[in-house]
Order: sequence, then structure tokens, then C-alpha cells
Amino acid sequence: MATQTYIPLATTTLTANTSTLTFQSIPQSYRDLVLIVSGQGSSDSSLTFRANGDTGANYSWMQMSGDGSSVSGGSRSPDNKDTEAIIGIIDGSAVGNAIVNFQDYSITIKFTNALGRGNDSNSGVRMSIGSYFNTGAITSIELRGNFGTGMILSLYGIEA
Amino acid sequence: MSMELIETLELASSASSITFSSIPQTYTDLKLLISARTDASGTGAAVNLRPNASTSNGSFIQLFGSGSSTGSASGSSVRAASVSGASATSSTFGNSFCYISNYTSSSAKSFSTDTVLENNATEAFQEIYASLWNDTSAITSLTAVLALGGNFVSGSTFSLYGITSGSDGTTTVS
Repeated sequence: MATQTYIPLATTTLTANTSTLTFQSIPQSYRDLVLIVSGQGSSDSSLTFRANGDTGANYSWMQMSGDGSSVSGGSRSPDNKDTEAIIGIIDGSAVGNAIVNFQDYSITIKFTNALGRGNDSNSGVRMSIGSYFNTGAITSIELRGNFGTGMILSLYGIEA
Repeated sequence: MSMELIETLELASSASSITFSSIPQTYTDLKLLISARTDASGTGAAVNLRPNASTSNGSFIQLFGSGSSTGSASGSSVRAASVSGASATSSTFGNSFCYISNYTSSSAKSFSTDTVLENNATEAFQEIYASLWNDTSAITSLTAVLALGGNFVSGSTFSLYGITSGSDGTTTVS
């Protein structure tokens, strides 16, 4: 029998605006995680993450985006670490979505990279990578941004 | 429930469009994988999606790279893919991944597309798209057509998957 994938772990539909959400007690039995964020934010913001409650300067990120007419890029290098990593985009005036892959999140010999795709046809399209410089297995993911009422956030486990 | 295959369409002969109809309304999201080529001229061609056969209320923003340059553009359709054209290296097919969030909701529907126009030559495009169908209707059918006309060639494949969100009883979110 083929291995199942996209195993649903947790989901929530927001009943009020909020700036942080945390997935906790994430099982360590999957290879990767996929996060889906959809809906309209309360205002424009980046979508960022922190792992395991770590608020230290242990993150870097890089992104490239297009707004329909021009291309831009940005980064926070490993030599100048940040306290959170950008993995997507939240738009306050249009429905959008973000798809983020956390690869090898439970492997303790490597840092964790999160590959993100942020989409809304109002302000632009974005691809990003956020890195967490700690080899500890990720058991919780804190998401930060201007999340709006009605937004849906879902986490899936990917077997390999 | 996890990800399930709804249907795969593989063309035995060329066709100007393909349609997934009577899409079940029981999933949270949809995922569409395309491997296709067109007989239209050029190295590549864009593919639009028509939810419920609609050609209105669509928009997209694109970011692309060719190997030597980058750019961004926008338009008024729902963009699902770009595929290899008649001038591309023989037997190369473009590949695309399109994710459709909350396709049964009564709000606008957001589409995320990653695509490559395969071409065993010095120029090949990689593109990402953010698309929106600003319509309150649940999506019950999806039709893929070439934006500027032409046919999908024999061997082109289109696979639609349904993804269901939920809880494993262990992981929490708050």
C-alpha cells in the first residue's frame, strides 16, 4: 500500500484578529511538515515563524518577490541573525494563501529550513526560505503576522 | 483522511481544453499537477483555469526567471501553469503545481502556482504565480485552457487531488 501523505495534524479558523498562533505538541514521526495559511489578514504583514519558543537571534531568511511590474529581494544573513524568519506574506486587503514546507523538522543533525510561498494577487507573489539555526527537533511552531478573522491555518505531516 | 487522488486525465490525442467536473465538495483544498505541452508556436505558453467555466473575476501576479533575466507581470485571469511549446526541445513537457485553498468557501479563492517550462536548451523559464478568483461560488469544476489558443498534445497529464485538514488529537493550535 502506498504511503499516505498530508496527514492532518491540526487546524483552526480564526474568530478574531490575532498576531500570534502556535502549533504545539507536534509529533516527531513525520519527515516534513506542510503549513497552509489562507484568507485575508487584518492588515499587511510578513508571515514569520519561531521554533520551540526560541526568541533568540537564531534565524535567517531570504526572499524574492514580484508585484506585477518589478522584482525585489531581501535577506537577513546568517552573519546578522534575526529573532524570527520570514516565510510568507499576509495581505490586509485581499484573500491570499501561503504554503510552507518545514523539511526534516525532527532530524537532530541538521538545522531546519522552511521553504515558503506567499500569494495574493493584490500585492504580489513571494518565495522565501527561513532557517532556524538549532539542531533540536521542532516540537512547536509559533507563527507571527497580522492574522484576520476567518483565516484558516492547517498543519500536515508528510511521511517519507 | 489525507491527500486523495480525485482524477487523472491523460490525453490520448490533442485537445484544446480539459475539464474536471463534479468535483467533490468534501475536501478542504485542492492540488492540481500538470505535465503538458502545446502545439502552439513558441517555446512556451500560459495555461488559464476557468473555475465553474467562468472567464471573469480572475487576476494574477507572476514572478519569473529565464536563466538570464527576471521579471514580474500581472493579468486578469486565473493562471494554473505554463507549458512547453512547439519550439521547445522535442519530448519536453512543462510541469506545474497549483494549490487551491478553501475551494468550497463563500469568499474569494486563492491559487498558488509553481511552474517550469522544460526545454533542453539555454533558455527555460521558471515561474511562480499568485492568482485569485474573486467569486463567492464553491468551485465544482475546473477547466484548463491555453491562454492564447492552441492544443494540449497527446501525453499531457492533469491530476487533481483533494486534501482534508483536521486534527490528530495530539497537536494543538492556539
